[in-house]
Amino acid sequence: MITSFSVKNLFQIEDLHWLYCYGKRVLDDNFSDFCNIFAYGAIMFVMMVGAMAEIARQTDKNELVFKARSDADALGRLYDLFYDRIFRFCVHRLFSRDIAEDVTSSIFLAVAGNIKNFKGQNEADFQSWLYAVAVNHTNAYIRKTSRRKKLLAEAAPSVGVSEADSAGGSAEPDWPMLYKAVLKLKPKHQTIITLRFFENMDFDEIGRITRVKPATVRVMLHRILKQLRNHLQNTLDGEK
Amino acid sequence: MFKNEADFQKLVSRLNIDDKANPSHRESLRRQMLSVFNEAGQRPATRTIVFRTLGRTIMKSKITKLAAAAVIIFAVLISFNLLDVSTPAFAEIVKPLLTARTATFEMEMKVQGAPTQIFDCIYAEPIRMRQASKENDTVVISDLQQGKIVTLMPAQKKAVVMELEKRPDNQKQSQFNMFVEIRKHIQEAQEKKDESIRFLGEKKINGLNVIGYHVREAGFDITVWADPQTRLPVRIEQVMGPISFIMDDIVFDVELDESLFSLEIPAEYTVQTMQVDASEATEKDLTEMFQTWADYMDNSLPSTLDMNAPMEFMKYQVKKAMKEGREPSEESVLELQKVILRMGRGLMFIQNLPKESDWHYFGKGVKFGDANTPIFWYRPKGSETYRIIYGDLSIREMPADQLPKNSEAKPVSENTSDGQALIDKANAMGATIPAEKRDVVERMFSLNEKDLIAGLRVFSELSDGRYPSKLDTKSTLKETNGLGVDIFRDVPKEVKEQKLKDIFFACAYYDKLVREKKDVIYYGEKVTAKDSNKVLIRWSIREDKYRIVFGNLTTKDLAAEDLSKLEKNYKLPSG
Repeated sequence: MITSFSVKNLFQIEDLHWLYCYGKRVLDDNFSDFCNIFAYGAIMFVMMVGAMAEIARQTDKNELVFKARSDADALGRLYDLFYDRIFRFCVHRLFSRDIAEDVTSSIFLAVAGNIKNFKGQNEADFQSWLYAVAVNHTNAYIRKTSRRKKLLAEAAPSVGVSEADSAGGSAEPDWPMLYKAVLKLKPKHQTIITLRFFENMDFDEIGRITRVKPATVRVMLHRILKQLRNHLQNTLDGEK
Repeated sequence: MFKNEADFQKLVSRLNIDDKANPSHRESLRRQMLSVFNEAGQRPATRTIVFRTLGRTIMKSKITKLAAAAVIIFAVLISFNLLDVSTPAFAEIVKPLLTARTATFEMEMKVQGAPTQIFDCIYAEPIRMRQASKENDTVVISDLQQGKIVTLMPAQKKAVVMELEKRPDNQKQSQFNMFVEIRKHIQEAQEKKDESIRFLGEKKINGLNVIGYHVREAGFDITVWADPQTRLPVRIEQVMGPISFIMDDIVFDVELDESLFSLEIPAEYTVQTMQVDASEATEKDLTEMFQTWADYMDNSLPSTLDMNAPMEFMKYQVKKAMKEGREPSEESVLELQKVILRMGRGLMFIQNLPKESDWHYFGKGVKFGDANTPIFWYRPKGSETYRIIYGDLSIREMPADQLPKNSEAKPVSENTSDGQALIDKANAMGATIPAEKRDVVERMFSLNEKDLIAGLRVFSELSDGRYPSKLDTKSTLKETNGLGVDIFRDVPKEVKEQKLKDIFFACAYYDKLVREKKDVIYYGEKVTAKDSNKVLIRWSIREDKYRIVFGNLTTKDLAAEDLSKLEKNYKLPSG
């Protein structure tokens, strides 16, 4: 075979060509004898150009998800819907805003490259898929010891109890301190904490993202919180 | 410390976390993401998905699959136009280009039908340029404030000095300095705030990821590729009809030695001097151009009024000289150069016409001297009426509603070829053709007999003189595939792709003839490249007249009666 890819490209060009050539002549010059299949094609094209904008406006999020596999506009709109949430998730998992931006980038670029393989049917499916990608990317970042150390160092300078609580007497960790404690958990447990308390997801959603049964997530969460409390308590005791 | 889940939830809600997104990151990532998506979308897999997604609705109608496929593929292309283009990013990228006092770059110049030339270029304010050819020793130094363009040829110890007479103001001199001209078009496109500037997405140049913007101005296609990290242009491409320029290795605001722009000519050089009228071009320059063209081109008129015209002129002159068996002398080449420079003023006049002038050209195929056929019209600035130039160069004025109807004429609304004009029209309808496919689509728009012959020649060369047995696109490409991989062994990728395209365009032209019901018959099964007397393909060009392409790819027009004599021994191919 020569290169089937080249030939395929040519077929696309061929289709495009006939649409242009005959479509334009029909539309511009009223060449009645060109009212053949290509003319119909051209008319369909004109209708679609107008219709696409209207459809895009009317479509609900599920349709948006469906279209996003092949339509840049739809993908762009999904991005607009989810960017803030994913960035926030990354900040909660990675503490540093700069690192969160980098990882957010890698998440959405991965989504753009792979969305054509996404098999889901609706917005919930897309959200689960997107968060699963985000979980993989953030965990992959943290997995490397050197990077984890970097994150801990970022959180270190301001570790302590919050001003309000230290004044009131009841010890309550601030964000850097809590982050350091969370980072001591297993990556999967860290994810569950973030999804549950920072992203406010229910057990079903967390189950879909982490591929764990919702009931199991519930049980796991109980144990994770216990561990986290111990880590925090040890830190606070150490500071005293 | 928290006691339970609810407690922990409260604790989290009280945390002071800076998790507000940065809008500039959001925006730049959006662009990057969509460019990745578009790259992935051009792979075949996506096409299937698009077909599945959008095809369902369309296939319910009575329209054939082919027409539906055409619509769907078009819709994919339209999606390029739906990208959210952020022009501020473009403004940031071109700022160093627009404000540079000096610049150095390497420039590759491609002219259709001529070898590629590479120059080391240096630009300096206010309007100076030095171009040193890498192929030969030639250096061109232009200083438009001094009104001089000096060409130095050290190997021959020769210099050519062009003295610009009646120079226009600084702003209009830009057309003599490519760097300044590019800046001018970018600035104009930015001011328009329409779709003149389009984001192209990402690609790699010399291993570096770059982002691109396409700037479309009447008669000019400029593409700026920039490093997204430094936000500096790394490549600028410009297309002007058959001429294209690529600027690489661009460095701005370099300290330069003034002597680089010295217009002094070494004492031992012989000098030829030409005077060039650089004043603002007028209608008279245009009519003089038509007159000169007819004098040198056997009473014909240019096919187009753009950068293709000088090429058409030169090709014709070279062919003419070859036919007459003479080697053009140095003097005659210099004379032709002067003629082109003079005629260039006619093109300058067109180029300076504003869009509102609504100029149209109809001269292709018209015999010079034809007093009844309009060849050009335009509306002068501030005028209610049009000025119409006829084939004998007589000029009449009339209002818009009385403009002559000329069904044979093909108006060209901008400084572009027919193909480019069609692309522009398609763009105006809301479609956008990816820059890298523009040349292919443009060729599609201007399909002609040459495409047919070129493709047939390529196929016969690849298959020892045989022609495709059928000439519809799918069969021919399948048959080409069947020739095997060896035919392209050791052939550079670009050449291979060009050959495949040539074959494809031959099929496309054949399809066009079939659909236009031109009574086309193709005898590829029976005829080979050696058959100089056998008809390979024929089609009707008008009543009782046929165009014939013979087996050896020569052509002839024949009356229907004569054709039937030639074809009497043939059995019509089935189907």
